[in-house]
Amino acid sequence: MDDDRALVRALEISLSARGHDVVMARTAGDGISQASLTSHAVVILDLGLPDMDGIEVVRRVHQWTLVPVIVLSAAA
Amino acid sequence: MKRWMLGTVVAFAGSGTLGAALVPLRTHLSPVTPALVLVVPVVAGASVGGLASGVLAVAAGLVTYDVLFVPPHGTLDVGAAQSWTALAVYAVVMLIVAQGFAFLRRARLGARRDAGTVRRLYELSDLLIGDQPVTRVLQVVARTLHQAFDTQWVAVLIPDADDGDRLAVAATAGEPPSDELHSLVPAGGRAERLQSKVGAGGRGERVVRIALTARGRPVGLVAMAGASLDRHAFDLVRTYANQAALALEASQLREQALRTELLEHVDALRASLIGAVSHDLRTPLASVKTAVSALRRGDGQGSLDERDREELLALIEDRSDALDRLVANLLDMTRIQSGALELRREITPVPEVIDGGVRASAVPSETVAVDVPPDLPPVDVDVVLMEQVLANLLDNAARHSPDSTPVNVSARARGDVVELSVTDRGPGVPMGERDRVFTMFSRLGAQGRAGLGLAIAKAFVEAHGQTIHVDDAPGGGARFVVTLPAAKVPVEA
Repeated sequence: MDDDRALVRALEISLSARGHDVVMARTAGDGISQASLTSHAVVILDLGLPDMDGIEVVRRVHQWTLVPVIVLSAAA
Repeated sequence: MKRWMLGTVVAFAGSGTLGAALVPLRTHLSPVTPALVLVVPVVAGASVGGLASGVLAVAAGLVTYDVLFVPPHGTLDVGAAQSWTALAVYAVVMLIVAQGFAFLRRARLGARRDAGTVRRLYELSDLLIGDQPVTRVLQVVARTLHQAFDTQWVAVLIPDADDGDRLAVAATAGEPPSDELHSLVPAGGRAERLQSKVGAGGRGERVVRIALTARGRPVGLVAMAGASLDRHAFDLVRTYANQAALALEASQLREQALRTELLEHVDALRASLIGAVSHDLRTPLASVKTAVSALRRGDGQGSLDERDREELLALIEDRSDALDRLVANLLDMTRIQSGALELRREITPVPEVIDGGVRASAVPSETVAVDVPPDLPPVDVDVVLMEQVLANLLDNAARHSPDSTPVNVSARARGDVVELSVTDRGPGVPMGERDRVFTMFSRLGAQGRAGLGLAIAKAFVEAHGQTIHVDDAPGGGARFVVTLPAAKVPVEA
């Protein structure tokens, strides 16, 4: 989940090239519903999403699954 | 005229006039009547001029009574011994009356003075609790002392703001001559020389200097010229000075606290600037790094097809441009803040400005819809800056537009300006945010971006003496409107 189009696309190409199935979401709402539809090996999450705080996203996702979450953040 | 002289004149005139008025009637009057009437000038004299006037009035009354009403008339002779006794008793009674009225007068004056003293102390202590700036405190102190002690002038000196060891005149009352003020500053102007003393001013008047100390620390100096201070008044001055010193200290501490608060605020702002700028720099860098890593790995494993490769390369180019624009914006902001912004105006057709703006922006030209009437006058602007303004507005519009909706740019002439509008189909800017979007770091928040683009656009537009604002676009979205000065083209005959 990330709202930066370029970063999302670069990750998608890079991960797909390594044989992973990638589902992209540009908002937290979209990402959470995608995460609930199928089971994923890992969630890559940008903390600065436009519609929800990243920590809140982690809390919600972990309500029904223990999928590992890798946090991407530009904040130092 | 002094009060005692006035009282004496009143008493003398009263005795003379009343005595003369009663002379024609004296054969019909008992001897007691003129004696009683002549008490009146004594009362008047003592009430106006105090005890001294009263005593003189008693003497005048006695002489008048003796000469005009005690036989033999017209002389100071008294004659019978019992008349002497009567006169002596009369004199004693009149003296007692005079003293009584003089005492009443003193009490009345004292009460009035005490009321004034209390009122001024109240004003000064009011300053202590009030949230007053130092200058106002000092003005009130100077004015209060000037009025309370009937001085020629009063000056208040405090340590200089830049050099705390030097004294500078901060407030005056009663227009002291400037050479006097210079001579007030102690030799070398050192604050540690602050001490109370009485000396002569340049024009020979008495100048009283009183050091203002609060908690043993010198906070200022008060100088009063031409005041006649008795012991009571001097104690009062010291009381005022102490109050003034406390008020001054409180006010100085308050201003110091404010400055500290401001510095903390600036520090916090600087920290958020660094955070926001590093966020803005790192986001495109993260894309570039991800794309480059994918390309390098892809080279080894051959799992990237040609289309992916092309897309990654285009993405690297695009993000590098974004970084370049961000750095340019930061440099622009530095130029604006250091005041180094100079306009290089040239007369330019509006479509040229728009084309340049679209090229300088990250927005693909095919997603920009331009609507410019053919008869639009050219504009007199710094083209480089105005193109940057438009580019920043376009980037902002594209960021807030839903995918696949165009950004509209339109222009129209209105009076002696050309209005340039950039319209998007995004969520728009709420009414309360419309001024704030143009301030730096206005978008600090969850996304933590510096949001320099609109702030720079506003600074550039205002450097041209023009305006920028945002309102609702007809049909939804935000519309940013910039005015450009229309060029005054000479009409060809």
